[in-house]
Amino acid sequence: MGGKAIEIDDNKLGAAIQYFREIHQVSQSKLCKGLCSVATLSRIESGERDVDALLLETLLERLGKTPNQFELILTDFDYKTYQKREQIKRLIDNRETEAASALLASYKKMAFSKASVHKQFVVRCKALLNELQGGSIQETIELLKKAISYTVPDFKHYRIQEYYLSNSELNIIIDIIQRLIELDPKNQDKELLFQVLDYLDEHDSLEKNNRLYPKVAILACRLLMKEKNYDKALEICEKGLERNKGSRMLDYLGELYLIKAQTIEAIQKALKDGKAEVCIDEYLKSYYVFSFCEEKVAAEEIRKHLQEEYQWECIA
Amino acid sequence: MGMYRLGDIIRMTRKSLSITQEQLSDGICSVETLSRIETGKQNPSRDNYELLMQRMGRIRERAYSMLSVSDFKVLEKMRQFEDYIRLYDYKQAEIVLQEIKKYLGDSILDKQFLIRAESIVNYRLKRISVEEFLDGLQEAILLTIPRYGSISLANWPLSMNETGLLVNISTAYAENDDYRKAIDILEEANRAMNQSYMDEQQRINFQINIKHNLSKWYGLVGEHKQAIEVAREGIDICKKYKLGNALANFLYNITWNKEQMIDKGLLPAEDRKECLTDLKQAFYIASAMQQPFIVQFLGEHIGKKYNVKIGLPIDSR
Repeated sequence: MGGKAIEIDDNKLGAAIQYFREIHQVSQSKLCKGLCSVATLSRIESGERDVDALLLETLLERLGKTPNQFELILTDFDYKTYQKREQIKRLIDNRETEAASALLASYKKMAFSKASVHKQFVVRCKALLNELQGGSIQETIELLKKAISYTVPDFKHYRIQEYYLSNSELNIIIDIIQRLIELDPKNQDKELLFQVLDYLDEHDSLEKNNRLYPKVAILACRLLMKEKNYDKALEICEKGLERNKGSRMLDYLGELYLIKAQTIEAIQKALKDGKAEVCIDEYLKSYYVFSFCEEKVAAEEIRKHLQEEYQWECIA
Repeated sequence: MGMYRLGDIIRMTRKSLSITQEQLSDGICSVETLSRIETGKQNPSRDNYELLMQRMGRIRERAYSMLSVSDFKVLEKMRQFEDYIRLYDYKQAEIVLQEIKKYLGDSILDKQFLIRAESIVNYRLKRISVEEFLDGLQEAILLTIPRYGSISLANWPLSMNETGLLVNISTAYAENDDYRKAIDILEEANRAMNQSYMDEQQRINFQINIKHNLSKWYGLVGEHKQAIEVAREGIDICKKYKLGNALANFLYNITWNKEQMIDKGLLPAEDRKECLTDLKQAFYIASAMQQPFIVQFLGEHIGKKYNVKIGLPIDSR
């Protein structure tokens, strides 16, 4: 078979980044904010080879793309750090905290000074390890905040709208929000939560953000319900369901329909008006999703509620 | 700093999947050739590179270093095409296909895509017969599996395109009322999924798709027990990965087959109760998944067959 010799002599990944960036109409400065300078991004886009693999990965990820990992590996350094990162992630997943800490220390020596993305990786892992080893929530939150600040330097002012964020970066922020709520269930600090929700709302062209929206919507709804702001909670819940349309996944659905049922129920009670069967219908959707996913406690609670509140006995 | 070549990418990907050179090269190139490519003594042709990477489950669309800007456009259009096919919108699919043709390259995977795409569109828009449709699909699969038809594919590391083609081929047989042949092909593909290197998400989607068709066709040839068993396997996968889109269909398949067995006297009439329970579950899962056609269908079925009203009356939905 013939065919030209294909060698990655110049970095075509740069062309990919430029292409997707222009399709999404993102400026160079917005895309690389916190990651590298505009001058560096320009060099990457024009095909410069000497680029850190993790930086390339994050740039592509900010554009909603997942690359073939090995294609990003252009140097020995990239290969070694890639393998170490994978090993560390595996160890953390398996809760082997001591081995993970040791490996993380050697990773830090190798890569910490190289680019902000490596620093972010190291500190995020530290946060996860702190949690696994029983450290305080405050400490975990501080570490996560530090991690996100490496690539989102304005994070302390919560100005995330000025960025184009990757899925990993958004997940760190959501991790922070979840722990803030755990620490202070009323969450005095709602600003961040609603900023992320607005962000996901405005950036709905990337499919991956559609998967994150329901997750954040649930956190926001629960908070609004505590404040008895049921109208707003229902609005966000319905948006979450709308954004989940077309997804194959069942996770979040049980919770979203439960919120929908509870908010409609509360609104009806306040108005002393409304049809019971509308609530029951939403409760049943939630019940059947929970019971299929074997979330038995949640399902049982709905069954009991339907029985007590509506004398509903029809669940087999 | 070493210069990494395509051979390195192939070697690293292969090692990360723990497969041998023999397994990877079978039917694509000789082991010696693969070995020379991996050690950098020889550069792979574009066709070989794409075929090897595709077999290892690497999606072409993500092969950024291989692509030029015009390729990005084509691959995005190809995705659009698949989306329209999934929505049964063959007219729109054809419009996108015409645009793709303007820029399409001539690699083996390009040709395979084109033959398959044209066959599907022409058949669905009723321009060719089911036999011609089958011929087209088989021509496409022969491009990457030259021994198709004379070897068993149960142990073949099927790629995403190849699996998609097999599903299309079996559907063509089923639409020609040859359910037996359709079942044989899918059973082979079903077994092949176990040694596929496809990424997990794609593999699961195919497994669900395959099991759904299999269960339907086993039911239609009267093998109700087999149909129920396959549907149960499908439900287990849905449960494991928390997938909801095919769940209502699987549950319906189970009850439909049970209903047939009750009618034939193979199951006691009391089992109707169980059927109704499953149907209710299917109804509410389909509502939660926002699948209005399935919801309507199940609601009518429950009303007619069991004389039970389910869900909200239409005006308060």
